[in-house]
Amino acid sequence: MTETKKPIEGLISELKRGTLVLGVLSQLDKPHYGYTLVKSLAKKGMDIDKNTLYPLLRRLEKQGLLKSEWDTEGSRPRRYYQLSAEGAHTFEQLKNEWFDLQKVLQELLQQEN
Amino acid sequence: MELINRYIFAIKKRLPAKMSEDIANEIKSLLFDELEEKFGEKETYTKEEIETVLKEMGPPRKVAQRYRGGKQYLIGPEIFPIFKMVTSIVLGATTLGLVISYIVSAFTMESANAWQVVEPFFGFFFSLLSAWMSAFGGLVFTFAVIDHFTNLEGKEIDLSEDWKPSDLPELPEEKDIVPLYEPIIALFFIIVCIILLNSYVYTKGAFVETISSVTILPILNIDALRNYLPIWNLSLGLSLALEIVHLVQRRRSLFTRIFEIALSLLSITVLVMLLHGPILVHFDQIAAFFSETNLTVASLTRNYRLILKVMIGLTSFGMLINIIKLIVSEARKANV
Repeated sequence: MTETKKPIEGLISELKRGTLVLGVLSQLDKPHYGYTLVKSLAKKGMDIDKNTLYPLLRRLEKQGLLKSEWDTEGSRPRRYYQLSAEGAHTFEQLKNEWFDLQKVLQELLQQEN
Repeated sequence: MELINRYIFAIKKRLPAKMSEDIANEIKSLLFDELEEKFGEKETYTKEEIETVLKEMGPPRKVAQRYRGGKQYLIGPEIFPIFKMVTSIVLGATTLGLVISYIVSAFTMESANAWQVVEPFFGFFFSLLSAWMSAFGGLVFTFAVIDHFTNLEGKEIDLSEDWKPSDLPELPEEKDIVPLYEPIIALFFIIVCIILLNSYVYTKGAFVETISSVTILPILNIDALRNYLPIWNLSLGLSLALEIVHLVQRRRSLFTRIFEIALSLLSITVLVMLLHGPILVHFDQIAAFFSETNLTVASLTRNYRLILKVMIGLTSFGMLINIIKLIVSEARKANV
């Protein structure tokens, strides 16, 4: 499937995929359910496919970075996700890693210019 | 609403049972969030409204696939080429073995009527089919077990960790290299042997007893054969395992050499059992058939035993040479 796409499309989606987890974790200091998370990310400029996000939330939960709970008090039951203690710690580490990376790339790209 | 339930059902059946209920509930709740957002909060939604949301969510197969993730196969790409090769050898050999045993059984019976020739022909196809099925099933099972214990994909193991170039296995010496054709030919013949032996004992023996018109000369003693069959099967099964190891590793190692010596020891045991146990051939029948010559049961038995003794001697000699070779090569390695 990907072979038929232009290489640039594949490269861009690869680049975005790497930042996905960081973006998602950044929003989950407060509990969110899938749908509000998509909206909240989209509002801030990160468009993420629902089909990618929902399974990702479960995967992150399985890895212990998120905890989830069914809220049955509203009109319909909803599953809320939030950072676990381990997730919060991991997020801090990832964030620092990102800033370092950003600095390095900034320099590399400016040199280029 | 029925459409949503159909959609959820289609996803659910593609998910592992353990988590399907939970995921289904979550997807359902997410679908309603979408509906609410797009068309407002209401009791029921129209078919068109639901269709819009479902289309956006994507086909059930795709959704389920995203949720599954991880390993979804029995035999992974790493061992698949070997699986394919072994499967073609085993199925080919199985076919050949059954064809031979069919031809032998067709020629050794006198046909009283056409049905008696045709009937085993049907039987042949059914036994071929069931042999293929069980051989294939056995292979899939074996390789799935191997895959389960050796597959690193999907597990959180860093392949690059703890790996040193010096861990690479040393190049085998010229004499240790196993050319590809050797284990393939050996595997082929071992399987043909297993099938011929077992089908002879189990089907041919039955033919002789059940079809009254059969007047073949029963040369082989079925009861004696049956007696030796388990140990022959054991010996052939172990040879099969050895050849599979050769096929995978493509070299002889200390382990396979010791295994080979153990196998010849087993062969010697089998031969000694043959020497002292029941005689495999109906010499009385042969002597009676050739009654005009001076063949007697006693002389035939003597020669039978002599052949066995020679075979024991040759196998022991071969084993001795293998042991000496092994000791010499190990001693040489120790000195280097």
